[in-house]
Amino acid sequence: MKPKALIKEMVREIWKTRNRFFSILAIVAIGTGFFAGVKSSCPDMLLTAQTYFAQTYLADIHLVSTFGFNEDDLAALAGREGVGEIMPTYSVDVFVHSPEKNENAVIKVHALPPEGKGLNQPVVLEGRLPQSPGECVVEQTLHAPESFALGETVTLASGSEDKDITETLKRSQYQVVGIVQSPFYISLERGSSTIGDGAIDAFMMIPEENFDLEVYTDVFLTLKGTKALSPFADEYEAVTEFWKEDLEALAKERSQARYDEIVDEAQEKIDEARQELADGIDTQQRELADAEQKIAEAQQELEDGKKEYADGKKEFKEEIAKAQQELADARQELEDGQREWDEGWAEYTDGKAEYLDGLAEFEKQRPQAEALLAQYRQQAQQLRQTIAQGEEQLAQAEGLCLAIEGILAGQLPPEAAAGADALMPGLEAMLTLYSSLDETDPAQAAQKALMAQQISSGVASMRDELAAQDAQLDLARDGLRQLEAGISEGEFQLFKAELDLADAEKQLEEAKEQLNDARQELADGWQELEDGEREFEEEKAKGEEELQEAAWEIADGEEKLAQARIDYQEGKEESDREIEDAKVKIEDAQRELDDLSLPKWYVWTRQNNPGYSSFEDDAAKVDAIAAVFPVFFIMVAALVCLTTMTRMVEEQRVQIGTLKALGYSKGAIMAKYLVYAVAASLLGSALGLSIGFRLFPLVIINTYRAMYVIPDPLVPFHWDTALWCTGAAVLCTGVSAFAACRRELAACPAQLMRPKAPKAGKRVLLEKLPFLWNRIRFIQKVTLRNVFRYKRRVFMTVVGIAGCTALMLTGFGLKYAIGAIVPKQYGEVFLYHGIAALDEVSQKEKEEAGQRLREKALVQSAALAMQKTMDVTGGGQVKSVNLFVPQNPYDLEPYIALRQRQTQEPLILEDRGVIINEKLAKLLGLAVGDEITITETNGRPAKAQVTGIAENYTLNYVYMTPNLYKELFRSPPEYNLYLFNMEDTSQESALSQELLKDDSILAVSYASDGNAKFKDMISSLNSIVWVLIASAGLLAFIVLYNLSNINVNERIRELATIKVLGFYDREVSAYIYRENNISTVLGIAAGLALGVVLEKFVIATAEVDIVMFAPDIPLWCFGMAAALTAVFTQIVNVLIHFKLKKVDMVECMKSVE
Amino acid sequence: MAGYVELKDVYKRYKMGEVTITASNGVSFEIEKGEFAVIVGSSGAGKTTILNILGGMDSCDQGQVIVDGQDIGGYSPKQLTEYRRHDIGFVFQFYNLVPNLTAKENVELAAQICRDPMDAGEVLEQVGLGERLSNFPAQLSGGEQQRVSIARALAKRPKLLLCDEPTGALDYQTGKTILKLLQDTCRQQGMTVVVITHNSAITPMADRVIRMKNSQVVEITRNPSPTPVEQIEW
Repeated sequence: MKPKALIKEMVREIWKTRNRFFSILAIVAIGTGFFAGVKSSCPDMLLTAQTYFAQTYLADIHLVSTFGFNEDDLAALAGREGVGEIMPTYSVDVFVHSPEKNENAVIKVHALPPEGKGLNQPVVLEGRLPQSPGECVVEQTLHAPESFALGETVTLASGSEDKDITETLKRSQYQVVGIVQSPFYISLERGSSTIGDGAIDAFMMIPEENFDLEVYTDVFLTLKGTKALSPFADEYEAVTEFWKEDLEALAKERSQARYDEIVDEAQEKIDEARQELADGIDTQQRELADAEQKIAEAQQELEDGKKEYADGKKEFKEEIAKAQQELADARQELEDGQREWDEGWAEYTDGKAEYLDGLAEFEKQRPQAEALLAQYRQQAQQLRQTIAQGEEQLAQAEGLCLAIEGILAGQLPPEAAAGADALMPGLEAMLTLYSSLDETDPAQAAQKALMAQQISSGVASMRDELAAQDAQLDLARDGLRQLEAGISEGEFQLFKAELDLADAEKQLEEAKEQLNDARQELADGWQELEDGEREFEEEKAKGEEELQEAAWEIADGEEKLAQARIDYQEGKEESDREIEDAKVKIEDAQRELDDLSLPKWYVWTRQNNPGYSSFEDDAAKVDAIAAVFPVFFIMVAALVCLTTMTRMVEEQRVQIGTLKALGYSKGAIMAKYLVYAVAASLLGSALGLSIGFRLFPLVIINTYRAMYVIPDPLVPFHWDTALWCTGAAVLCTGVSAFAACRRELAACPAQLMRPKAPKAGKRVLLEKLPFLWNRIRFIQKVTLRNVFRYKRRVFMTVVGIAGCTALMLTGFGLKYAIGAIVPKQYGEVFLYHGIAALDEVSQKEKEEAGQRLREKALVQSAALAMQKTMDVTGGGQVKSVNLFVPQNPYDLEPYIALRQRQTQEPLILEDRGVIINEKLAKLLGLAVGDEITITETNGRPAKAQVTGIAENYTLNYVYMTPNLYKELFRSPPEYNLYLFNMEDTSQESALSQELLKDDSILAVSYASDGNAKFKDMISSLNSIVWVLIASAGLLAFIVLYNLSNINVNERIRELATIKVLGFYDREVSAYIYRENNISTVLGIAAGLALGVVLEKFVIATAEVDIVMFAPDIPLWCFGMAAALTAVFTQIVNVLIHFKLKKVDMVECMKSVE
Repeated sequence: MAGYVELKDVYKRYKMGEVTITASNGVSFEIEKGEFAVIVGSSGAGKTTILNILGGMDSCDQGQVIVDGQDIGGYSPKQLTEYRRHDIGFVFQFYNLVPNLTAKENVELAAQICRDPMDAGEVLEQVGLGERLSNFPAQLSGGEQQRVSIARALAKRPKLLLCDEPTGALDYQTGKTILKLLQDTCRQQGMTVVVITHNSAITPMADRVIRMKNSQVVEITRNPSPTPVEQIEW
């Protein structure tokens, strides 16, 4: 039916105006491509993950028990209705020393699932799966890539110091044979561990037989009825939640059973150990007692010895003292003797002098005395001779008398009386007769007696005579005696003097003698003293030596005793310690057993896998962006199509008129333009979709692959999206073509055939203000006129550029808004460097742990606080928040800066109310002074007034003082963490390792962890922003180029004319630039305003409850958006410049169309 | 003596695919200063090419184009622009006024880029449009528009006034007045005027007539006593 000529004409038309055709095609392609591509990114992202999960049999549920799982547990699980496949398996956290980083990496070692049928199948990226027990596969890790290379041997070390790796694994060395990825780990987060710095760095898998454990550590299972569901669909979540609850019920049951089992067994062991300990204590006591006894004995001995020594010493001292006294006495005596002697000597010398004087006197008187004496003696001599003669006669007579008496007595022979005749003659003869008579003859005896009578009478008469003689002699004798007495007296006197002298001399001699003796004696005494002293010294020395020896002996004994004591003490202590240790161990074990909570089963769905949920969130974020940006693109594309089609119809007005005049129907004429538009948009959307469906999801998902370990993205062609995208594009261009044609076709052919009168020039409003207008340079006036003349096109340009700027501003703004979260949160709001989570210990132990924490060299300060999840109700909504109670609200500042965001005014935590964060206030529609209800899990609701709204970006917080907490919840806060600041934040890993050794500290985390994690996210976000910006730039470029082209084409005559007038190329270009620049400036201004709105909208869409994006757009975002837009327009200007250069001046010769 | 304008053996060839069209085939002529010259020929005779070359809008492949002693034949595009800017005044068949500018502004548009221009108002006064200075082209008749066009060319004080079918879009009477204006300008100001037309009827008013045919000059006629425009009829 269709006239052939028309079709032919149309094809030619397309070819002739291919530039226009392609520009429509391109703008449609970009619009639909971008829209469809970004729109399908989220589904593609989810599809990629979904397919990956399905292909690798990712478990629906991951069970972990604090006690592991035994066969009974597994049987109980298998008996559950909803449970599909069960895979019990092992995992253990170990250290691997990384030589590159020179530190221990924490590695999670999983058992390889049975090949082909187990769950969570790893995907081999390189190498192969292990075939022998000594082989392993590792993830394509970020950590220590060198030591994890294929072929390397990895040495595992146990996580705890008191356990050897061989207690859990049969071998510690594995050769890396493959690099894998696991659906279980799609994010870069590997979870937390109780060893090392608390974060798992990477995972590896080894054949199951290497595990040497009694119970399974993990159970993975699938649920019935989940296979058909998309894992991101609500239904899936509902199903897993349902069965999760069911499994949790089972968990309770099994926990109790396991608990009883374990408690019984352990109690028995502890009791045994107790008995053993008691025995040990007995033995120890006995042994110790023995030793003690021995020591006591030795002690006694030593004491005795000491006493003896003391006595000896005392005695020695006394003796010494005595000897010394004696010696001193002797000395004193000697000295006295000496003194006496000296005195004696003096006396002696005096005596001697006296004596010599006497002697001299005596010698002088002696001759006189002696002469006198000699006279006396002569007289005496004469006298004496007289006397002697008398006496002699007498004596003789006497003698004879005596002899006669003797003869008479018979005692003397008669011869004895010879001479007796002189006295009485005849006597002799009588005596001889007498003697001859024998007395025995009585006749003779009488004669004799008569004779004896006669003789005796004769003797007596004789004696009388003699007595008379003697009396005469006595007179002589008296004289003599008197004389002799005189002589004697004289002699005596002389003699006496002599004698006295001699006596004196003798006495002197004697004295001298005595003195000499005394001197000798003294000398002897000194000698003796010296000897004594020497002897004393010797004795003393000897005694001392002996004492010394004794002392040494004692010291020696003491030392030995001390050693024995030490030995004893040590032995005692050691055994005590051993016993104490054993006791502690037993007590620990007992306490542990007593404290032993029920085995806890953790039933985790995929939602609990951090990567899984954040992946879904990220996909949702992409979708949120997709909701806004592409629509914008489509709008701009439609606008451009409309302008282009309108221009085309206008250009062909003469032809339309001709056709109309020739009698073609309106429909037939219009068909050409409609087909033109539809063909361009169809082809454009086909092109756009085929590229967009691949390019955008690929770029976006690959960007996210920096954060997620997922396989190559799946980017299918989405027919539904494609259909309605294309529909929209075709409709858009079609309607614009239709609208343009309708207007033209309304005119009559004659009118149409005449060239459309050029639009009349018009004065602009500004000209009415001559004071302004006259100041403007001529060429600028021209530009202004033109701008106002082509209002519609300028408007379109402005809209296009504004869109571009707005998109860029949104892109930059978004980048800032998200990128600033962490620096702001952890750089300005949360100022602390780390958190040490505390175990559930007493307040005192917490304080002590705090003390220890503060004492660490690396720690600057620390503050105790409680953080707890609570529900907050306000404005009719409930939100789960973190309740934060600092022990000392006035000391919070170095750790958390509570401040009002806009004014930066610090907020003070007071007892009268709570401070909540900005996002929470926004979510619940709260203002300062409003009341909120805080509810503890399963607790009583408490009402509190909001006294401040604080700047905060991640998570929601309610801050309150301990006093208020106490008032509201009727119990003091149970502090559970320390915020701390470090001296040197580069030492985090070292500090962690140190802190985790503290029993009171459960875990340590750092602000920088979140920081680093976020940085990855930001960098991936950056590339999305760049895609956005590039697309926006492309959009701006196409819009501007297209419109500039139309502008140039419409005014080709004018341009040719000014060229002919001799305008330089640059002046000609500037003629157009100036107009473009004005549009650009207007567009940028409008775009910045629009961008603010758009950015706020996107943020409002993309923001989740627990995050507040930085709400301000910093100046640099405006600057960048404006600058980049300007750059794009300048690029267009350059292109237009070349186009203008090619404008043929001959154009001006042509007639007006 | 050498002319003020002199073309010597000018060749211009266009390549249209495989065919080479020779638009100027050894064109040579001279025009003296102050002369009113008419280049006449039928459509396709090569007169527009000559106009383009003479007007500095195109360059020749071969030969010399000497204007006031300068050989513009060898000019670079930049020099050609300078040449157009300062030395040439153009009058187009369709006036080519910028519709968005008033009569005065259109003149100023040209005047403001050249050295020592005439005052726009004065020139327009000269061409008899003293009253219509602030009118937009759309508010002017064809003849008035062409006057503005002439004024725009004259304001530059060009060495050469090149007119391409100046009367082509005008009615007979108006065409005549325009030609009169051109002739008067030539006579009174000593301006060298070159008019290109297919209309042989106006040749008597010229000092020199250059006839072209098949890209060649077939005849150059000097007219010692040109007829005033008023007496010419066609």
